[in-house]
Amino acid sequence: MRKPELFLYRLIVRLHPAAFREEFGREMLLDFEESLTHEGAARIFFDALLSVVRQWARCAVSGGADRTCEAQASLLAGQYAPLRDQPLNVLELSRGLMASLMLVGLCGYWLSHGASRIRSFDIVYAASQGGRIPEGGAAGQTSGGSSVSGPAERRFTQFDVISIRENKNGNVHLSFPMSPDDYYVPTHGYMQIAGLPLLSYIQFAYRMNALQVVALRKQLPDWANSVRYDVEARVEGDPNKDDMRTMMRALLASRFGLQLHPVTQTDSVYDLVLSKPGKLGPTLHAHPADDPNCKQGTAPVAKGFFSPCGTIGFSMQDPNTRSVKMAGRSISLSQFTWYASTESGRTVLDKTGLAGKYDFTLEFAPQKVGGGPDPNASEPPPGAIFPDAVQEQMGLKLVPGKGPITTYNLDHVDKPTEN
Amino acid sequence: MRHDTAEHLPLSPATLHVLLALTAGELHGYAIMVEVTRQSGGQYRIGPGTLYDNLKKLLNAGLVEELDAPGDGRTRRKYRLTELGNGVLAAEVERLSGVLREARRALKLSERRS
Repeated sequence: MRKPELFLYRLIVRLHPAAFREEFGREMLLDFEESLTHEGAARIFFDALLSVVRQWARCAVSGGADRTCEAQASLLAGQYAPLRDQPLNVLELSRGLMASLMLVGLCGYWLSHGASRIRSFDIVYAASQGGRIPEGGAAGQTSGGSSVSGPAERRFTQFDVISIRENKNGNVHLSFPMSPDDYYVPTHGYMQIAGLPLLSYIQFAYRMNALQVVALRKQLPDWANSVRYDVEARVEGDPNKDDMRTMMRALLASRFGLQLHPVTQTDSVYDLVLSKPGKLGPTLHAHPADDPNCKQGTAPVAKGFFSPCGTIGFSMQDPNTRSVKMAGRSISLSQFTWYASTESGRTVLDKTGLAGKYDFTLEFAPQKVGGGPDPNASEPPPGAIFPDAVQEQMGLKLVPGKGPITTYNLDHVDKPTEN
Repeated sequence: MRHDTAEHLPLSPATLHVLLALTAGELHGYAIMVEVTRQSGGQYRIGPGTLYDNLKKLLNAGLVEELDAPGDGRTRRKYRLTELGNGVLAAEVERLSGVLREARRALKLSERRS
């Protein structure tokens, strides 16, 4: 958490009418901390300032009829002096307005000049906490949804509490994205997933691509694909997505008795290479090192759909061209091969030699999982198929070859033990 | 019940999205924000200020209720739709469907004329 931002947000929360602040202030701060991992601070600050104006305007209009405007300690009246149980007068409203304008100005200055230029925030905050002044002014960052913390980072191996129930209502709920990429919404150790079959939990835990899932599905008993489970688990602390995967593997082993082992053999693969050495295609670009939109996760790579940094997003299939758009933002090409394997029907190995992160868009007509034309389709798709689209749009080529393929062999699985 | 739901309509976009998000189950504030983003495909996002302003109104109107929390000071407060909230959401969706039908009809007429 970037402390100056939390400090500012706490100030804005304190500007709300006391009753509102007491009822929702703590939740607002918690939501702010979580939002900041993939949202820009400016938008959240602006939202909070609007909320201050709305709440006080409501108090002024209601003339004290609103319960949340009752006399309580408030910063607007001096932090410890009670407000009268009457509508706000002009002086009080003016003080509120001035305080809000000062904060807006401060936020604007800070955002336009960059946090690093105002080291005094860190210094003042660190001093007020009795702590060390952070080097370089940065208190902490998140990247790709995973916390970047100090050497004393905790290892999470298993959940403290687990509850598994068969899903009866058909509702599906995920407390964080179970996608194979790094996109993650921190849940402070709480996991609630509802309405998914065992195979989906295994896919998440072992980060399997679609080909590995197809291979495993053939080995699993029918109930593992058909019976849906609600899983709720908790651990003290703040695990990241990889920690969640580790703990999910432990959960599957302890409660479902799941035992898998990887098998690697040489088989047909596609090597992902550059079509022309040293040249990228028109829709593939190196991700800018300093992308202000990256932490916000709001600006789309391609118009019309959402793709935060570290993820690959898909649009709905166009009913006319039967094509889909795929867009990745700040991802490595080895991450791209995970999806490329699914779409091309063979394991794809990254042989481009390109390091770093890239942005791309890709429009193609998907074929059935496992490759080849969809047997249910009445005619071939009019759009470019995946290998052609990759070559024309991204300047990459899928070259058939031989290489190592890893699948999973099932040793044992049972229905879950009782809670 | 019909009369009760009608008096809450029409809903503002933020209110509609919050109610819609709560159809996913019992959610805390941040989960509601994430659900709103997910359901709208990232096209509509709300911040904590907007969220709790709307939750306050919805709690007062009885469309949403707060779950009993352990009161340990650490557990997030969770919210869920009430029966009335479900009814209001259904009525709003029905109202919007009518608006859409009318809009489509008007657009078709406009195309025929031009």
